[in-house]
Amino acid sequence: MVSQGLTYALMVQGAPYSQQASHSALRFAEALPAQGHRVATVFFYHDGVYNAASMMSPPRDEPHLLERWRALHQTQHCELLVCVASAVRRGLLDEGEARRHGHPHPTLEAPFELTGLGQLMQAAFQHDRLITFAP
Amino acid sequence: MSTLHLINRSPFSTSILQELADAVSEGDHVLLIEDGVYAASGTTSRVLPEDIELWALEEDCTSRGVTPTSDTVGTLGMAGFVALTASTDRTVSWF
Repeated sequence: MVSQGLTYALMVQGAPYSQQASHSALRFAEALPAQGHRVATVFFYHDGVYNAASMMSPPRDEPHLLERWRALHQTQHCELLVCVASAVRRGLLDEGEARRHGHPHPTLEAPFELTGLGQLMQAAFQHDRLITFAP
Repeated sequence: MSTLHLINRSPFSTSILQELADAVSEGDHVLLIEDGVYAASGTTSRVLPEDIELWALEEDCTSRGVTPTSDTVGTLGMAGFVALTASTDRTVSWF
């Protein structure tokens, strides 16, 4: 019944620490390899872009979502794509955007990448499944 | 083409279940996650056609103290959630 070895794209639209979407998406992604699947792309959209805030500093006894995403990138080699239009207006800027807007420090760093909606479409077509984790 | 419908909103704050009832097809699955699991107990979920498989994510039920109505709602762990997304052709999130 279950086909083996699927690639997944996940879209995360919930803000970290206010909605459950990040936790649900991470737990889902971390459960994929046990069944031979992997997450290939995570796309952060709307308030979901705050998951990529490089200065995220949660209390030490709480889950560090940024570290969890980084670990997912390392273990499943997934791309962590952040919608540039959602991100820049919310103050999440990589080095290039920070320079362009006259800010001294970037607030978004690799392995997160600023991308457009085209990459979301590409991920949706390229991978076997697209699962949206709603706000 | 079978579809997995994901619901993460409480039935007490939205009418998504009623809207979904008109949109599901035979062979579809509905999975309640996050606050969606509040539809797993009581009679809230009876608006869905009987030939639709209804599931609730166990960990979200546990964290909210929800006991699913066992004769109409199945429970799944995260592995079961993954398996459902693989065995259906596509997943649609309602929110």
